[in-house]
Amino acid sequence: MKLLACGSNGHYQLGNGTNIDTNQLTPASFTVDGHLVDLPSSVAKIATGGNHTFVLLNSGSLYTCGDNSYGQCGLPPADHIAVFTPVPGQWRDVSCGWEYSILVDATDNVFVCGLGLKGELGLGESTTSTVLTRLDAMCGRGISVVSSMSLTLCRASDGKFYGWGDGKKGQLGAKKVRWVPEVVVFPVQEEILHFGLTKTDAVLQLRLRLVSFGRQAIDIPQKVHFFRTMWTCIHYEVEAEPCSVVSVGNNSHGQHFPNSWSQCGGVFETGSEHGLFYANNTVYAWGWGEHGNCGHSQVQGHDQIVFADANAIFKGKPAYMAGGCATSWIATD
Amino acid sequence: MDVYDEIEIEDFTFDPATQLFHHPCPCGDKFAIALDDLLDGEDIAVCPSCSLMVRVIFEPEDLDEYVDQ
Repeated sequence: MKLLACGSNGHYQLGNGTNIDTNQLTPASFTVDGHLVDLPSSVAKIATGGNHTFVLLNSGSLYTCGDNSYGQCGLPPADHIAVFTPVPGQWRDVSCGWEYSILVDATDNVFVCGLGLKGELGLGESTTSTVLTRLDAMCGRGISVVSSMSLTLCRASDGKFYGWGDGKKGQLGAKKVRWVPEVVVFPVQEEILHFGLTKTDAVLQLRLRLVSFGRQAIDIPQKVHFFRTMWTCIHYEVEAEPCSVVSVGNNSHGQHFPNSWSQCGGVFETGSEHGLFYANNTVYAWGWGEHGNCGHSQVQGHDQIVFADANAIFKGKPAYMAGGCATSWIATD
Repeated sequence: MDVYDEIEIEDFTFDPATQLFHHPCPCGDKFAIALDDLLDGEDIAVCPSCSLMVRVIFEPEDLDEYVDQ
């Protein structure tokens, strides 16, 4: 069992002990009982900030690496953490923004750490938390969290959504900055099945509709299988015959799902401005890949920056895959 | 190469010490542009670690609050 990664690595966020970008999938290392090992057990979720990373395992263990200048890794501040290091405790969810992190423990308590100048920590006008600090407003009520660069949305055990941080584009309603968690009431009647954030939008998947609030404000009156977000782009798979992936938003650097693969029916995941999908027993990358996060194209004359077409980066079926901030992640069995 | 995105000046962070405006870049580094450049009418912020660029959306009077900081 391994966790492989490629891409931006200037702050050791790939967890392989170096700070060198790589366009080759490289195994990450984990510290377990003082020894360096490969991935200890199966991955439940990978969350990435600007330059830091969390790996949540299905066992409830949580590991972190990368830039820890502000304590955003949930461990005492240090310039960086070079390999994945355990965060003590049992955890059920984690999300990251630019330089902060939101952790949910096994008893639904929400903890925050790092730097957030615009309410990202939800601790009032306090902008830094170099140690994990319990967010009392969400105590015992956190179920799942998503974060964008500067905004967090949390589904609570009472069924309500709570948001905090910078919502200047109207993602959560008219209020621009929420310094503490506040109930968010979206103007939709139906049950919210899944939710996500771009840099400027809140995206809600309803039973028969996909809708977003903020800068892009889409309203797709169709049943979708699932959706994923990049910073400036939304991708969703329409439940039709055949299924097809549709991309909405910025396409300045090949972010839209490759046309010729849109009906491949495979799962896909997204990072800041690139994505990964699985088809034909292969993982392909597409989008903006300047830091090696889309691998290396063998196409002669390729600029290695814009991967408008799919680029094969891994042979086989991944146990888990994820995109980060110009990083790509593949866990193997 | 196209400009990657257009970002309103209120979404930048101003550092009075360096007189630079910053905004996160999807590579992990930060787009930067100097206050003086904005005052001169330039509007393209660049990232020191990659080729991406963003256009800063602002009105000249938006800069008033930053001058003399």
